[in-house]
Amino acid sequence: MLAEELPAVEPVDVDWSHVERLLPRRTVPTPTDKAAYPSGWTPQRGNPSLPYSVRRSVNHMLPVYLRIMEDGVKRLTVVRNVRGDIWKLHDELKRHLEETNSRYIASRVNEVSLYVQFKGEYVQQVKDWLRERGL
Amino acid sequence: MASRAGQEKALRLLRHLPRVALNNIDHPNPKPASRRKRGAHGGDTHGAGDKGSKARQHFARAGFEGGQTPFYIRIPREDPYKGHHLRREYPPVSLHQLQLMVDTDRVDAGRQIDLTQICNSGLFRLEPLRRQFGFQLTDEGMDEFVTPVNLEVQWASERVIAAVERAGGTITTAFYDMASLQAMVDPERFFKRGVPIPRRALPPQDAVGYYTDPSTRGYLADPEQVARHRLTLAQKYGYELPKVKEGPLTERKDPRQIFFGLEPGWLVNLTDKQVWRVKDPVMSEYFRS
Repeated sequence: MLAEELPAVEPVDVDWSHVERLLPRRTVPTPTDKAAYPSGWTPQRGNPSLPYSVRRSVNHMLPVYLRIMEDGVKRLTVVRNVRGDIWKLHDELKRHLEETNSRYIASRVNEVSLYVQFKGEYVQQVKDWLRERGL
Repeated sequence: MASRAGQEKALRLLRHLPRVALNNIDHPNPKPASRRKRGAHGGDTHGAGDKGSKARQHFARAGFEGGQTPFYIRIPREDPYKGHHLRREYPPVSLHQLQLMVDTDRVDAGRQIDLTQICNSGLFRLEPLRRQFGFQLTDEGMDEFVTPVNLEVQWASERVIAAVERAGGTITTAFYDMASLQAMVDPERFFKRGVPIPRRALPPQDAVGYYTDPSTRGYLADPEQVARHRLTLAQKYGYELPKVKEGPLTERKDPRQIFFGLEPGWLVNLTDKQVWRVKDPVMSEYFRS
């Protein structure tokens, strides 16, 4: 299209904040302190009395995941990024889960990759237990 | 650089060379249809080699299974799948996820939360080219939803509408056509294309009923009717309908508008932070209608 054929244009005086509002953030925001979090999410408060901690994900979520394998038959609860005394966390958490569920729970600790695995679906229970401890 | 003598020599050559034709230039040449080989050297086995089934048999039509009912006839037509490749899809966003986004500041609860804001959070992705026409709000976590928000989604059930209004917020269901969706899903990428903001089209025939219905909070419905339905819904579910103040919680887009504060037909230049519009009255009238 030739320059002469293009339509004539004029500038518009517009509040640029309307455009900026449409542009996404480049980084994940740090959540601000609020009185209550209705969704159940809690920020990481830290617990110096404990010899262990878990590092939150990039999105500030607890690193507790459900791994579903073998076409839905095998379910594993994984707690990743465990820092400090991983065996201590494993022992305490396992005791808590076994008491809550009244059954033996097979578990596994990986000291190199810093994760703890429990056989079964206990994601919510693990998260609640971690949140109680401020982790 | 060619010298004057070289140029003249080239021109002299041209006068004697043949005219440019299909037989002396490089051009795509489709293969001729294969034919049976004939003659002394093409005869005998005629390109079929020696013996074997390929030399003896005339092959049956594709899909033939020796008389057994072929696969393409055996499998019946499934009426529920008719036109499935053309149906609109609405990926779900639950109220729990929404509350979590508000709690962790992934989305601004002070302004309207629409398709663009949900996509900009980085947690949800919409692919219009896969027939995804927007988000639907699901009822998971509706009991814990307490934040007053101004929501604009593409589909919501009655319970979800009740949960949002009980919390003191407002919800609207709006339709966006394909061109508008492309702009809304990634506004930055859209502005960089240098295309004016599109004028939103009206919903297709099968969606008009939904988006003009006040009970589903359609964006084309009568606002008075919508207010009446808010009251009746509160009575039905047994909650006190909170008063919603005029402000960010009640801001609405025009049915032809896709971005707040920006009109269709405007061109946004991100680099120079400038917005342009067409002077031509016919074009501006079209965009403003």
